[in-house]
Amino acid sequence: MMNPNDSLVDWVMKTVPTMGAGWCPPGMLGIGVGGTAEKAMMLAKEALMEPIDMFDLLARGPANKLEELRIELYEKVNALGIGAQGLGGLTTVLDVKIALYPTHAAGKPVAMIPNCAATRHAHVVMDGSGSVYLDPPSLDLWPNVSWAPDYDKSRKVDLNTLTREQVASWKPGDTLLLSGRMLTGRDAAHKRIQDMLAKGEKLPVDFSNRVIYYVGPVDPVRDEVMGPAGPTTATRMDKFTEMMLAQTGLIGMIGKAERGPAAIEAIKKHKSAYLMAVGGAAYLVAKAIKQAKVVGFADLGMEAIYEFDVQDMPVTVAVDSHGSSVHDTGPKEWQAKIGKIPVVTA
Amino acid sequence: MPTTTIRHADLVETVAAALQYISYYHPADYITHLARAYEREASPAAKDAIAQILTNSKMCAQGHRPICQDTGVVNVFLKIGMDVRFEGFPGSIEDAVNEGVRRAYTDPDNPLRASVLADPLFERKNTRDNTPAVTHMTVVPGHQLEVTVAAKGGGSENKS
Repeated sequence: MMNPNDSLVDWVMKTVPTMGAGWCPPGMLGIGVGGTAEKAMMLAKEALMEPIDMFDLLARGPANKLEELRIELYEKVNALGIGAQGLGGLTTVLDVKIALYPTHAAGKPVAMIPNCAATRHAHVVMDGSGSVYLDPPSLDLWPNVSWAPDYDKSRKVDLNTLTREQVASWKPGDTLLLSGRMLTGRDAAHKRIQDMLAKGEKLPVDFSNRVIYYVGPVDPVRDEVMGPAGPTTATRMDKFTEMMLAQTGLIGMIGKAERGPAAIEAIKKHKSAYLMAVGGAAYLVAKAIKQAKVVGFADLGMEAIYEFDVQDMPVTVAVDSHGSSVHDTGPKEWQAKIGKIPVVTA
Repeated sequence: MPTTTIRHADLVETVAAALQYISYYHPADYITHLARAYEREASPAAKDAIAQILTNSKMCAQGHRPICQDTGVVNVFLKIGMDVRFEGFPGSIEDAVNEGVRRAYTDPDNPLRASVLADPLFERKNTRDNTPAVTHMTVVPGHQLEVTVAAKGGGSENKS
């Protein structure tokens, strides 16, 4: 709840950097202003259902104060240099949507909800004539961009023979293509490992010299090995990182977005590394999985521990064994560069 | 103006079909804007990430499989015309929406991930079919039912 004279722009600019990259930029921001505490949240969510039209707006120019504000926030947030997946770059948001409602003279309720790269919504109208189905989009809509492993630029890593020394040699920003066997686990599995270790129980799998992938995959269908299996937000596993590295023999982790101070400290101490995969590229990642089986905690469903055998799974070294993080250096570098780029508004 | 009748089976099917649709088709406006962002991106790491997102998106559109493994919690906004009546509903409108969610998330051709827990504070046990949705309804003049569905991932919702 802001005071009537507090600046919305200042608040947004203060808040966005604290959100990290777990919200999977590039996406959009929905901002609700006015009403009451719960009304502002509703406005923010509903604003995200509106079409993305920032490029049209930039081309035609703002017609009112609200559109001026949208452009100002779009440009200022992108000038933070957070970039896709927090790696540092020009585009953090594709659009900023703002919805307003009358409010009490004493306050200015504000809510902000981000939407990720997997922006998913649809709108249909039922008129009583039956079920409504949306027409599939034309595949011509997608640009001619086809990502494929780049063996010149990226280093191939064999997980089956991976050593602590190799892990310690990776540099921040290195792109790796992983092949071989990795284990998976996320919130519930980490919690259970913690409880079992506390009781002195034996874990169902040996993590020695292994890499863990933070993922909760979709179940496979037909001839699929695994359904879509993109990374989940790694910071939720930060509080377990010291335990995993100190007590289980784990030597590396794969997830989405940045790590917090506690995890980075543990990575440094144990000369480990944290790799990031692209959130919002779940089906692409799944295609790299050649074999998959549940090896522990089967009752946890998608949160069970799987063993994946992968081929050329693309990841980037996000925290190296010295504790240097691309989510720190990348945005800083691009924020500085953007400051020197003339603003193009058309 | 005549009263419009919305049948239970049609609302369930419409919600289910829309949820399947958005699981593998990005909105067109998102793709056109992301394609523009790809063209102008100068940071190699960010450009590579956007290339992966665009390639993944097209693969999902072709393969009819989810864009993201987090197939979200379902948010539904219903704008109910005041001249609409509902027929054949065994329970509430929310129950019908949840039936649509259940059908979409357990579709054998494209099963989606069940991410919803029945109890947020104690047992946190998965409901297995991604129900319930969070449904918001408003009543407006008119004789149509406007249905907006969204599948909101936890990664972004957590940063609200």
